[in-house]
This record gives sequence, C-alpha cells and structure tokens, in this order.
Amino acid sequence: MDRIEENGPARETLQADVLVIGAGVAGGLMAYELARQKRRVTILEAGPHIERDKAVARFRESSTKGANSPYENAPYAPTPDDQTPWTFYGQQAQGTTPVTKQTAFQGLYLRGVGGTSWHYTGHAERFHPNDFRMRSAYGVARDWPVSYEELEPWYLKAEDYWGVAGGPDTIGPPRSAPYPLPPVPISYLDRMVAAAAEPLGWGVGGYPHARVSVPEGYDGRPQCCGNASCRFVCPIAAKYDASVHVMKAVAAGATLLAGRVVYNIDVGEDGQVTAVQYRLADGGWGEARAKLFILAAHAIETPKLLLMSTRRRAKGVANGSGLVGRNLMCNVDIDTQGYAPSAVWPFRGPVSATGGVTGLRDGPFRAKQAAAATFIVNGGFNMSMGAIEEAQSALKQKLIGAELRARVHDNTSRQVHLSSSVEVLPDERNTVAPDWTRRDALGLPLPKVDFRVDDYTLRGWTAARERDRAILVKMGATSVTPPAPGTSSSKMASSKTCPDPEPVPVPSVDYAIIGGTAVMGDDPKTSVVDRFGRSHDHPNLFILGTSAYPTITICSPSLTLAALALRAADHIVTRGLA
Amino acid sequence: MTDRGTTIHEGAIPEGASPGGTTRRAVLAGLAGTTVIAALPAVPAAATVSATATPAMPESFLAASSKLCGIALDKSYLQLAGSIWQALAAQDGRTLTEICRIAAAAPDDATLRRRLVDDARFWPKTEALISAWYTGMVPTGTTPGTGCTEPQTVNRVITFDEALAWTVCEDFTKPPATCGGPFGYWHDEPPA
Repeated sequence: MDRIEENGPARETLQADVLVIGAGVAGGLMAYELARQKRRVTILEAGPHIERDKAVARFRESSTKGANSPYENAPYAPTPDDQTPWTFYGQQAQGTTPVTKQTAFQGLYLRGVGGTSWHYTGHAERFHPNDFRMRSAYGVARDWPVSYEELEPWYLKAEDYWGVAGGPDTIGPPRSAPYPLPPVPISYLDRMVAAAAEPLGWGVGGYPHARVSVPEGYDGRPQCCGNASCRFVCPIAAKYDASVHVMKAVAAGATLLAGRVVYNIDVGEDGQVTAVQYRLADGGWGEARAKLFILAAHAIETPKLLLMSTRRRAKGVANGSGLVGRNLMCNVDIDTQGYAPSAVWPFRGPVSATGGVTGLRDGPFRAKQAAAATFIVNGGFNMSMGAIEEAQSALKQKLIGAELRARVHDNTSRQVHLSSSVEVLPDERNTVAPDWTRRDALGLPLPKVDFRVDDYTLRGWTAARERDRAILVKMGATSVTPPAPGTSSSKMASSKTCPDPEPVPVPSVDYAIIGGTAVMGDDPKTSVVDRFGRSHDHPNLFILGTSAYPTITICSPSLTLAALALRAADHIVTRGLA
Repeated sequence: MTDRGTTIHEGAIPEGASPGGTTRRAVLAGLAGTTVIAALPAVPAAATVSATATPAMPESFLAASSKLCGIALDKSYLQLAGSIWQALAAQDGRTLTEICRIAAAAPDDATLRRRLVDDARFWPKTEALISAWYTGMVPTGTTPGTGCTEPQTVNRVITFDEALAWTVCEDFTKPPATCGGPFGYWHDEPPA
C-alpha cells in the first residue's frame, strides 16, 4: 500500500501554537521569530543533533572527505552519499543517456539540526533584481511574485542575523545599507586569475560571506582563521549555519525534538491542517497538533512529505495545482582545471572561493543562454584531498624520495580550478516523488528523481566552459581539462550503456543547490504557495525554503530563503496567523 | 631520550634529508617540549608481534621510510610508524622487512630505485608503504564494480593531519580543518 500507517498506540502526543518541520535555515529563523513573540513553538527535525567536534572528527576519519562525510547518515533519516548520490534518487550514473533526456541528479542535503547549512559555501549572496523577473526581463521561465525591492529590507535583516561580510567591490546588486561586517579578502590565487581574466574583458570580484571577518567576533562566533574546510564543516563556527538560530529559538522558549520523521500531514474537511504524524528513530510513532504548521524540509523532503500525505487528498497535501514535486531545479557545473606555470598557492583561506569571475551572471544574453557563476576555487582540484591526490598520482609514475616530495609540493601549489555553476530553468518534467518501491529503515519511501537539462542551459554551460578555458590558457596553465572544444573527446555524452572511458565534458549536476518543487506564485493554478509561502490550499500551512523558488538563479540560495522566511514570519505575526 | 622499548639510532635519519614536518615538530615542542615526545605511546618492536605473527617493526623502518618518502622522519613519528607497520605488515610482512633492510642500506637514490622501484617483487609493497605515509591511508578492500564503474579501493584513514602529502606543502598550507593563520593570510603569498 502506498501509505504509511500508524503502528500501535502513539508514543508521543504534542501540542503547540506553531509546529515547524525541519530545523534548517528557514525553520530555525521562523521558530526564532515566533518564539520570541511568545508563541509556543515546537520544532520537529528528522535527523539527529549535530555536534561540531564529532563532525570534524568524522571528516578527518573519512577516506573520501566529501560534503556529507562529517555527518551521521542516520538510517532513520537517510541522505545521499557523496560518492553515488544519484543512486539515492533511483537514477543511473552520469553519462548513461544524453543529458537532455536524463541527467544524474547529485544534489546533496543534510537531515539534522542546522540542516544543509552545515556544509554550504558560506557565501551570502543576494539574488540579482533580474533573477526575480526572468519572464519580464528576458522572456524565459517565470517571474517571482516578489521583487528585489520588496525583499531588500529582509535581506538586510538576514545579513544582520548572519553577520555578512562584504564591501563596495563585493559581487552583488545595489543595496541600501553597508554590509554588517568588512569584506573577507580575496586570495592570492584570485589575484593571479584576475591578472589573466581582466585583459580578456572579464572581471573578478569578492563574494559576500556569512563568516566572521572581525577579530572581536560576531554574535558569539569567532573570526575566520582559514581552516579551509568550510565546504565540509567549519571547525570553529566562524561560518554561520542554521544551528545558530535553532538554538536561539530554543533559548527563546521553543521546543526542539530531533529524530522525528514526519510521514503524514492530516487535513480537516475545512482544508485546515490539523496534525502531523511522525516516526521516532526507533520506529514508534507520535502525533503533533498545532494551529499553524511550517514545512521547511528543503526541496526534496518537503515535496516528498506532501505527496505522501494522501489520506484526504489523493494528489497529496497542498497539491491542488498538481505542481508539488515538479520544477525541480539545481545548477549544473563545468570544472576547468590546470597547472599554472608557477605557484599560485591554493588551499588557503575559505576553501570554496573568496573570489569569482564575473560577466556571465546577468545580461541580455539570458534571453538565449543560461547565466553562470564562476568560482575561483581556493581548494584546488579537490578541496579536501588535493595534496593527497597529487601524491597518489606521483606514485603511479613511480616517483620516490626527493622527486616525489618535490612533485607533490610543486603540483599542489600550482593547481588552478575554475568552477562555473550554470542556471537551470524550471521544467515541469523535472520531478521528485516518493518511491514506494525503495524504502528506508523506517519503511518510508526514498525520493525518486526524474531530471534532465535543456539546450538553454547547455548553451550557457558551453559559454562558461570556453570562457574559463581561455582564462587558464591566458595564465599559461598546462594540462588543462576539459580539452579544447571541437576535439573528439569533448563531445557531449551520447546514448550508450556506459560513460565514455575518456574524460568527457558533460554538465554535471551541482552538489550544493536544490530548489523548486513547491513554487510560489499568485495564481493557485500555477503555483503551490503564495508570495509569503502560504499554501493556496491550506490557510494554516506555510511551506518555506528553496522549494518555493520559481527560478533558481546562479547565486547561493541560502540568504534569499532566509530573507523570505523572515518576511513570512513578519507576515504571520502582523496578520495574527499564530 | 629513550622511547620505551624502541631504540632509533640518531643516525637513522639520512643526512641531508629535508626535515619532516618542521611546523609539526615545532607545535609538539611548543606544546610541552620533550615531554610530549616522551609521552607519545611508544610502539615497541616486540609489541608489533601479534597473535597472527606479524613480524616486528625493524629498527630501520623510520630510516627506510625517510629515504623512500624524501622526508626525514624523526622519533616523533614513531607512533604513526607503528600504525603503518601494523597495517602493512599483517600481509607479507617479510617482504616489508626486506624492503626496510634494502632501503636503509641503499647508499643513494639510484640504488634505491634500482632495487625497489624497478624490481617487480618489491615495488607493490614499496608503493603501499610510501602511499601510507603520504596519504595517511591504507587499503582495506575494494568496492564491487558495476557494468559502468571500475572497482574502487576502499581505504582506512590512519592519520589525516600527519599525512606527508600535507607536510611537504607546509610552507604554504596545512591539512583542511586546521586553522591556517591570522584572518586574511590567504590574500598574500606565503612568507618565503
């Protein structure tokens, strides 16, 4: 049966004014804002508590050191693994079919207190004003029901909460007030890339960071000291993560319960959500009732839960439009790598990137091709394993002794890596849904993804690839990959049973960005939630997070979802909805 | 100073070899001077003889490793040496012992290469030894291949912070998840 049933008597029964499902960025901020307004708030988090020291220890002990490696992959709340994330989504590997028909989805997310923010880049970007009006500006995709101007005050508040660092030259749209903190300096590597990019007509700028840039600290968090592991875990909490405001919510009176996996949302005959049922980590179950429900479980688990909740609505909760689980979005990447002619000193500072190459982020070209954000990766070819992989490569060439030592040092110090993330437009064929044929340890369905990219994205991807390669060539880099366009091995992957044995440049789905699947809009027929995140179908249900994004852009998505959550919280309070 | 149960001759570190982990040793010394070194759990040669008859770690192990890795490994590496020895000597420990003997006796790099790299009997184990030092990992098995993927080596991490791949880069970086210096140090070239 495609339904999860209660198993025996309930072990827990909860009652709250506001029930928040998901202890990530959106859930944490919402819980904090409502708890400090004296609402009785309960937060249910599917995954475990995350202890920073244990996360760092897991990272060190991991032989692969991927983004999810520091975190417990709890059997009761499983997440994709770093090595073969597409298998979690019921897909086959990259390259098994043309990317325009099926693309291996690699979005990584976490289930645990603080959510996926534990391993985001720490970039705190605002979306560009045109990102909110893609239809109006460029005739593609759809407009948001919210403008940049409307969201700007909430960006300011989110930046204040996070302690965002930036300055006049920081990559970002116009703003009405300075950043709360001074900018994080760009790296020496950034400067070397800029020296090559600027004569070609491309700019280089620094990113806005949610990492502390002042010696006195910010909101109890210390100044960054360049651990260079922040893409995986920040050992000292200099980088903001959502556990900050989850714990502030608890301090303000909210109740936080981890290891509670919600599997059903009950709806009354009047359309109001009445309760949720959840599994405990040991398989028992509980029920939580509230006046207002906030669903903030990221863009995979949110639609999965809505589509699993079919007791009163055959299509699932909040799905009158039929769009829950549709328009799954991400970015796709092109990684261009090579060895500079002399040392450029990577593996220093915030590891994802302090600087980026601009020029493909916004402009009239977006009518025809996707935008691209290009990171100058401070972490070389492999942020966590760079020097180790150079040693393995040198040993394959049978180098030993002083030659080995010199090779590892020399190659590691010369690595240059430009990583361009390319926009993907909404496409209703790109879906996530519960897969009742594959279940987790609690018997709950795993997510099933159907995903492909279109020619709009491929054109943007090709432009970024050619631009990034030109920059590396200008630097005098050697061993540049992928190979030059037009060579036999640079063709797109085509229909075959296995990936090409040679390096084939194929758009690969970005690990970090997942959005869509419960989009916002003014028309209930073409959207799931309204401009404040409120379900069109259920007045006491808000659905927050990147799931509500009508378009995904090429900016780090977290700050925007934080701004939207703060705006929604204000709406709830001022309208007396809780 | 005597490390309990194990004697490493001062001459074990090749003359002229680059020092291994200057920063690392400075940290150790800065923390507690020789006390830290003395407090390191010693790995007596006899202690490495397990119930499965893994041969004892020869006294030449650090010296041989130093030559093969191109880094002088002093006594502060004894604990890690013991872990690597135990991981690698459990299978074909006799070959590993022989490699240590040959490496320690090799008068120059050319001899080292001829005897251990170019000789197919010794290279796989020699490579495994150097790999363990540089990567801080030892293989424990392989994943099954699929129709489209090759079998992948599964590794166990013995050490991350002391993997020599990072040590040889310590003039400009350090293992991830370790503080790198004052805020903004990444903006300029590393000090010469």
